[in-house]
Amino acid sequence: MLVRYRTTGNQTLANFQSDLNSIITGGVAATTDLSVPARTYSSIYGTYPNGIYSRVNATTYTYSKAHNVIAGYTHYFRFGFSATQLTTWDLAQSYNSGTDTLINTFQKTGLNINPSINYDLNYPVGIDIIVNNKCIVIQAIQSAQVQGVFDLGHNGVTRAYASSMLMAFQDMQNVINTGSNTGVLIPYTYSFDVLTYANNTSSHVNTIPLKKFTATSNLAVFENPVFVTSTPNGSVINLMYALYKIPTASFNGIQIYKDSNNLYRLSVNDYSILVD
Amino acid sequence: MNKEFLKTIFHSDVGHVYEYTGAVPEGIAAESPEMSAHVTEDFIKGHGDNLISTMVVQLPYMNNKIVLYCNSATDVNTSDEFVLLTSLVPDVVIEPVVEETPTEETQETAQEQVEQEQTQETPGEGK
Repeated sequence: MLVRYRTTGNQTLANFQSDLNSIITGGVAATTDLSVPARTYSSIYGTYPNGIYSRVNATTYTYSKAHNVIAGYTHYFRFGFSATQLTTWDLAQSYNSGTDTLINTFQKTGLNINPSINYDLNYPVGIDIIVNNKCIVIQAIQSAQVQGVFDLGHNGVTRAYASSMLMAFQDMQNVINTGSNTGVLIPYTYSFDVLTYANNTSSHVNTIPLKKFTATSNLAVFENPVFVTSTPNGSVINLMYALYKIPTASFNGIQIYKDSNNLYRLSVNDYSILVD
Repeated sequence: MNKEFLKTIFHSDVGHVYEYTGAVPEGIAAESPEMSAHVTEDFIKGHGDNLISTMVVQLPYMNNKIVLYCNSATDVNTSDEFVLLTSLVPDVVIEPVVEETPTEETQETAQEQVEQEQTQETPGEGK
């Protein structure tokens, strides 16, 4: 599910918090379910994934996310707000509901996502929110932020050291880099460099597909899966669900398209994020 | 404890690292989610803020020390069960001031310069 959240300039933080919560917990099926300033210009693609997300605290914006296929791996995330903006995003291995405490956390700071953006047809930016069973992504290009939490697949390290997380932060603004800094951070996973659990910056392993044309001269957009790897893990590889590499410069900017299975995708920096 | 080593665990230039000196409850393995939860709860209880970001790890080749990382820029610990090991803020490197000691060669050059200056001034003296 993708909500392209576009508002009139009088949007408040309280409205945004309420809308974001409704989007994550399945309360938004149509734009009329959003707050009034977000109803006119927002649009919704795809459907909500049932049984994956829950809000775990009534006061703080703390949520659980179950892994899309691997049972027993539920991790937690929390949004932090200043008086006017979404500022921090925590991803944690586990959570204690009694005291509302995240256990083994990494916190992304400095997001500074301001929900009050006056929609303009000539400059139609806003906040894109993807919520599916494999990832949750927030894109606010006006704040230079495209951040997401993506499910990971198992590998030899995560099987043996089972407290390792199977979710990672992905900073999509970093994916254009090559080498080690492609913006992947696993908050808590076993590291053979320090022989203990640690947080881990990983890099992408993928093959960039070429541009080819079909018999009808249409551009075929191939999508290759993305894997992440890091040397502290012994260069083992995890699949990163819902993120795909597409041919260079297939799309300009951040665009939505449908794949051959008629599923929606959002393209960012030559990557494609599954919407449904 | 080696700050650079701790940075390779927590990948951060902010925050503080503490050693947990409290008891490990019976039946809980030191490197288990239950232990992480126990240590985190103890830290939060002392600090009083459940919104801070923390991580608990055990260091097997450092006498199995259990350490907690907190991303707060200041030392926020109030509990006796935690001992501050280090801040992860990089140390300020003060570059030593190098005083130049004149060598024989530089002394000779300086002497030559003085003599040249004196010679240049001489022709103008009679005007």
